[in-house]
Amino acid sequence: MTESAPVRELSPAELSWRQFRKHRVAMVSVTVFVVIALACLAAPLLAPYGPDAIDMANLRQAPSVRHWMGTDDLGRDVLSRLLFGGRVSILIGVLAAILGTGLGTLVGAVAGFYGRWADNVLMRVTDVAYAIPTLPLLIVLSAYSNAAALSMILIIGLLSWMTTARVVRAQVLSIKETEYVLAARSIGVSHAGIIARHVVPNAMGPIIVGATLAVGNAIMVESSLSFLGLGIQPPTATWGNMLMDSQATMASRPWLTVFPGLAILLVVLAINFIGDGLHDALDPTVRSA
Amino acid sequence: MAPVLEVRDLVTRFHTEQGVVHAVNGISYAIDAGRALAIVGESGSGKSAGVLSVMGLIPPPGVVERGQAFLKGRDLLALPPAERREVLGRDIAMIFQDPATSLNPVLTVGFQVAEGLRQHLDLSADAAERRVVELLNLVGIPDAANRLHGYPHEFSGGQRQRIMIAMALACDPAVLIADEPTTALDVTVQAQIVELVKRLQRQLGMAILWITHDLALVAGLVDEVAVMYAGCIVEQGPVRDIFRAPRHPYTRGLLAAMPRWDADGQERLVAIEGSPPDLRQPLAHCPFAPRCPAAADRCRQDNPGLAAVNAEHRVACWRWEDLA
Repeated sequence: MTESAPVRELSPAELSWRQFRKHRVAMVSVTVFVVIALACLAAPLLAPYGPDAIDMANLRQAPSVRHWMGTDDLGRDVLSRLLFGGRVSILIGVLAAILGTGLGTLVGAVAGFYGRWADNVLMRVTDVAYAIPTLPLLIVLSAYSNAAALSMILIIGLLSWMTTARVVRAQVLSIKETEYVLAARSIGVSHAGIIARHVVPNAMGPIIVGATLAVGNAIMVESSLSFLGLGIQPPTATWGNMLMDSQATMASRPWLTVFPGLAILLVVLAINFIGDGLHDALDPTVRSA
Repeated sequence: MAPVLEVRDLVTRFHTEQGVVHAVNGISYAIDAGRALAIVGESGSGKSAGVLSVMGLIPPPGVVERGQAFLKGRDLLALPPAERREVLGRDIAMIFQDPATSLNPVLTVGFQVAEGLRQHLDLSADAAERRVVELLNLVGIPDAANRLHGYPHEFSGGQRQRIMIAMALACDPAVLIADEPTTALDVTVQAQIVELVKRLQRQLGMAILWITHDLALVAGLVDEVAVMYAGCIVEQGPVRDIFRAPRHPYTRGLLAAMPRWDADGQERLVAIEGSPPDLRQPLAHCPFAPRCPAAADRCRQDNPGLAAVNAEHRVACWRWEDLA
């Protein structure tokens, strides 16, 4: 036989990683995000003070050597609150995105794969869910919930699956016509097996990109709700409610606004750039040499 | 001996928005264990739709409207989907046209070859991997133990078709359906694949149903040939008879349209005039009549059924005796 073996075998994931590394902004963004996320994760070790430690002797201090980002109206250290708040914000963002993307993938895959009435019903439900203005509904829902992290995750996740569902459905419509799906059916693989092992893995590119962007979106939504006073309630710090607390004093004590704002901006921006890089790396039609 | 696969009066139609397409119009055939049958026909003759119907894989809007397909005595078309899935891949398996697209690009070839094993046999991970290596060796993939961790894009077209064959053979099926498995391959690789299937058939004793538009390719592989035209079998017989003494004008046309290696370079290839009929109308007459050089009035009015030329050879033509 003359067929020759390649020198080294690369899986599709490895090929995408090679492509991703060429996207410089995305690589910088990964670094930024990982550093911030790790810092928040290690908050109990890194934070110079407790997040809720009130220090009546040092109220409203401007940034200094002792308090890098200053202190707030109750003398709490902004840096410490930022680190602990980040844990909540990022955790809510990531879990809500996973929930929304998972749900969207399930709905999209079932609708696309089974077609006919399943497709009609699920896509009309998606249209309706899409048509509802999200923020007012979020406000109503969170007003009635106990505003714990878990309910925030559920509320945000359950209201952010529609885009994923549509994207996945479109992918599945073409994937289900492929010969490898026919080949899998010809050896008796069940529908569930085909969806799980053949259809969804081949739609993974757009799903991952969507999930990444959803993390940024969920952090924004959580911040918005907290800013409106409907999210996680004080004294638990999140980036959103830190912003809210500072809005009255934005002009006189800008450090209370700037640092949480900057944290949200950096993380969301980084996540969007990562999503952009993943899009380029996972979509073969934009692959460059 | 009872045939291992017997198809009776299979009718498949596609209910499209442009009308009902009569893709398969009452075909019947049988294959004995360890024997090989080729179904020959041009694009759109219903040969693929016919086998996909048997497997229960006909895509909507296609519907199998009538007929039976007995595999080891059980009618596949009457089985509920869950029971049919147990038969598919275990007793009957299929390989497809384009090996570039019939392997899943994101899964390793070892995983895919093992898919049928996981589906039908209760093997441990070790035993399954040993079986996969054995299968890849069987179909001639060198260095199988290492290469089963590779992905489809790392293999050539011929190797991918070998992997497809390994996947189909995983559970030792009694019948292998090959749906034009060499169409997308180089001529030299085509011959290798045909040789491979021939060797495997002898080694494993399975029956083969080979769908093709290339009569010459399978001449050395199969025992019997069924010629399809417009969703009907128009002639069926031992491969020797079909080549040496074709009875149907369409079969003759097909053979005349084949380039001959011993031609002196002056002969022209003979094309069959006209084009296949529109399958949206049910055919009351002989489907080939509009293109047939020997068509008579009767041919344009009634559809001839298959008539026996001899014990093994049957033809659907009103005038085969006149033309002999």
